[in-house]
Amino acid sequence: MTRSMRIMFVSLILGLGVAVVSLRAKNDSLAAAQKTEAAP
Amino acid sequence: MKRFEALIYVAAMGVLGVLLLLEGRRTTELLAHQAVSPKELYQQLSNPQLKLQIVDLRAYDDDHFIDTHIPGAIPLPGCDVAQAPEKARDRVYSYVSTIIVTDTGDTAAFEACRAKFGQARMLAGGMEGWSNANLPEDTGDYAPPKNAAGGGCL
Repeated sequence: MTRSMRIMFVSLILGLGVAVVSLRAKNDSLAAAQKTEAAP
Repeated sequence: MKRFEALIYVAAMGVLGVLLLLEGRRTTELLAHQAVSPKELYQQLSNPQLKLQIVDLRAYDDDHFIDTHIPGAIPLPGCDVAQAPEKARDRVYSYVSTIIVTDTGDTAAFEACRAKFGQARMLAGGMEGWSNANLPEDTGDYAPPKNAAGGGCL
């Protein structure tokens, strides 16, 4: 595997990782907001 | 080890892809339980880049839809295509982001209809909430838009 291919794979994995973490954080804050709204 | 390097990368991307998909589905599910406010919907409708359809579940009669409705809303009384006016029957798309309008923001009616759409949210307060917010309204029979799918343009 060439160096450029390795860089490409690692970049893709990092990008996907960042997307997953940010989407998860957004979902968690949405869920928390909904819980707060539902609380009496 | 070097032989498996590519395999490890592909496997990592696969796992992350599945996680992304699951989180995406969770977003859809969470948003479905969060009603959109009339003002928020009005802002969304002002953005021509957002593809959005408004489906009105109220009765298609002089006291409800014909009397007043959100501009571009598609009548779908009781979430039943058979009850919709003929012109509207082929205007409802299940894959377009959908806002469901009821009389007063009836959660049960929304939940009964939600499964028909991939991504659906309820209008908070329903048509009453929209009217109370003094936002633009249309009257009269449903008229399909001349171009594009779903309507929803102000």
